[in-house]
Amino acid sequence: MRSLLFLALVLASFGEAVAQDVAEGRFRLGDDARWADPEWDDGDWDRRPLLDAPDTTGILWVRIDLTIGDLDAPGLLVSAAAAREVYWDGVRIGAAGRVGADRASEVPGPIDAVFSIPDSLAASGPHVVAIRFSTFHRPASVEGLLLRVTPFDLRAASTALYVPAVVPLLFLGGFLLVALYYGALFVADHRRTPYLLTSLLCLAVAALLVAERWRMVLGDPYDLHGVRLATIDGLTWTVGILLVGTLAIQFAVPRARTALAGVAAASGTALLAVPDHEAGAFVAFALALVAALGVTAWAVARMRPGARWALGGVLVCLAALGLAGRDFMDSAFFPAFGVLLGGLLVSLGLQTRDQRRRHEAALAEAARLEAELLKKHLQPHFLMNALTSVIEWVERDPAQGVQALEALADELRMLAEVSGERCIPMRRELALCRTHLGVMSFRHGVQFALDADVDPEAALPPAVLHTLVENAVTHNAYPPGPVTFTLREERADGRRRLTLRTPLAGAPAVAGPEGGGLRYVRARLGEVAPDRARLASGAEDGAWVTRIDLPTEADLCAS
Amino acid sequence: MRVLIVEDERVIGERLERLLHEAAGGDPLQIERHETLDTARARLDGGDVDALFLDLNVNGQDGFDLLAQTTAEAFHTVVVSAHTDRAMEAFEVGVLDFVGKPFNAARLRTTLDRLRGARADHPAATLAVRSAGRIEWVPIPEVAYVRAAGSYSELVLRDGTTRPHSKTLDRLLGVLPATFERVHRSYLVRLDEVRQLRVRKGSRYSAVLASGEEVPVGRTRVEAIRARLGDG
Repeated sequence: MRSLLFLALVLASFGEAVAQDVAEGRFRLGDDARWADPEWDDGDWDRRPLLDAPDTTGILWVRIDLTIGDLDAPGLLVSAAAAREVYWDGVRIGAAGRVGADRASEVPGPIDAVFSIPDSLAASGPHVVAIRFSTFHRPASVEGLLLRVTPFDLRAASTALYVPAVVPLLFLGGFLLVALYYGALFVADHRRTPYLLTSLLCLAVAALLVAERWRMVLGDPYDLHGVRLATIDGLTWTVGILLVGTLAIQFAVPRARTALAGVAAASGTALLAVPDHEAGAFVAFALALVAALGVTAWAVARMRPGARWALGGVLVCLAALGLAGRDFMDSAFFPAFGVLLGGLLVSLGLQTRDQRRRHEAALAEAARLEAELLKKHLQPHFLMNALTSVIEWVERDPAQGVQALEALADELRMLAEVSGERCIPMRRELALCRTHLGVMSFRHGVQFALDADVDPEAALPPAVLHTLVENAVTHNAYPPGPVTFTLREERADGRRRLTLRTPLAGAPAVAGPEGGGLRYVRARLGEVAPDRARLASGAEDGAWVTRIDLPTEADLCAS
Repeated sequence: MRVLIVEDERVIGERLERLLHEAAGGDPLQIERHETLDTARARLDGGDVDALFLDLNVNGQDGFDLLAQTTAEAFHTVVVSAHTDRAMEAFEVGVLDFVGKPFNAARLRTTLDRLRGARADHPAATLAVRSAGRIEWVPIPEVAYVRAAGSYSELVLRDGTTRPHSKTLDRLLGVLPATFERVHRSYLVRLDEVRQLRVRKGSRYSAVLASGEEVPVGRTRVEAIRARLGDG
């Protein structure tokens, strides 16, 4: 029985190539056991195509004349959304469910059923098939009888059909394996959302494959056909949304959730609004693919790693959709989606490799930055100039000299404390800046001050503002007197913007090649917020203005 | 002596000025202090500055580029810098002295001695020469002798060509290697170029160079030259 079920599955999926469906039959409402007799006169029965069987809920008979050749193992596939009994030349060869006179006495059977024909009845030549139906359990969502009758040679079919039967099996195995692999990766590797979404996407596709192709294996009675169609619709919608979601999150599309909700709503509306089940699923999936095209094209434009592969996969899928038209969901969906998934996995792999490389580089970078910060303040330019000024103060005014020395000691101690940190609170950074300005006030004979209106507890990488303040003092020639730098903070849209204004004086404000200071700042920002921190500077209204855009500290500095 | 200081850290500039005055003692200096090279430039172009004390890291720029321009000029360049590791590099392009930071009055007295005629610790390896607005580097081994030409000098190279230099013979002698000797009021000669001393009519002397050229030798300098040639 299992092998018969398997064959039925294969025939249901790929049957057209090896067996010919019966085109028409003669129908009659009512019930009479004699109607199974091949000799019964059915001249006055209603003659019509099988696909256009009368739409009824009572008991219905159909009689079909068919001719078979010399078959080794004759068989008959009878698909119908109805309970049925099948007679071959008047002999009952089997049933799917139990035909009943009312809802209570009927037992629904599977939609697809294969019946083996006894050799004694299978001589080549004309035969009469009579089928008795009842459809009391047919759901409202299933239109018509979905009747299909196909005679075929079980033996010839079994050899001719094993090969194409392997294809859906391969797809199912592949999708499940990928789902398992990415599920495990998600658990093992930092719970990265794209891994989880890829795993769920593959699970959803596998479920869709089962729902679409494996109705015989599941052997669901025909009264559940409506549930199955609804399941297919739901899974198609889910696959589309998961696809767009996976891509959007993998490529860090801004406002991904809002966009995804829009796509989900549009796709869902299409599904519900289009009355025909297949057309609805087609439109819903096509909408999701177009959204996926938008996301991947955006990612390619932004040079995201692996984006070309994902775009290629989406394009192949769209091309298959365009070529296959309305048949797409039935004929081309799984191979095309396999290609798309391949592109998605390659891009995910490239991105993972890219992130790992960046992570390794970041570790080396952290060590380098710490050394750079410390070294800069032990280098002769900083230390010897500072000491020369301090000596001058000691000779001129010993009390001032002591203060200058203490300020220098404070700055060196603070630098040593923060240099190895990934992030420090703003108040420590401000203290560092002000100590540096204190030292510089002694060295330049200028009263430097920093006017800051910022959140003292917000985190930022160490010595970033300190470096900018240092640059400003070095690159200007301030006249004696007070000089005030201002630091402001704005927050919007989950981002924080720090603006440092340093007045310009004496030296031309040239945007020359980026100096070591700015490189240090960029490197520190890149360490805590790769791709998400921005640094821009330029002259504005007599001041040099530097703007740092950071994500708010909720996700900043979490290593 | 007129001295110009270019130092972007005001307190260091003030210290340099104060200690230079202290080191100069009875021979007063006229000192001008600038915090950027741009403001000093006009004064330097005026031509009456004897020495420039230059911080090599002014306003975050690398001052080594500036040395080519300043050493080509008539005045002496003295580098005042924290980067003592780069002293040789500075000497090689013809600075008279390199004062490391931190510095004191005693160290600046040595510098003032050199400015008054003593020779640099380390001689130049090349000379920056300004010609047609561009800086050209002349390697010292190429120079056969130097002759005075009004208020500036003329380097005569081994290949017979000449290059004008803004410094006087006295100031050039300060940065040239010890093989260069003053043989005449208007001539510096590389002694290893001299093949023989020739006596001319009226007890006038000349040195015959490897190239066959003859350079006049001052009567008062003959004995000293003869002694140094004999040494060689």
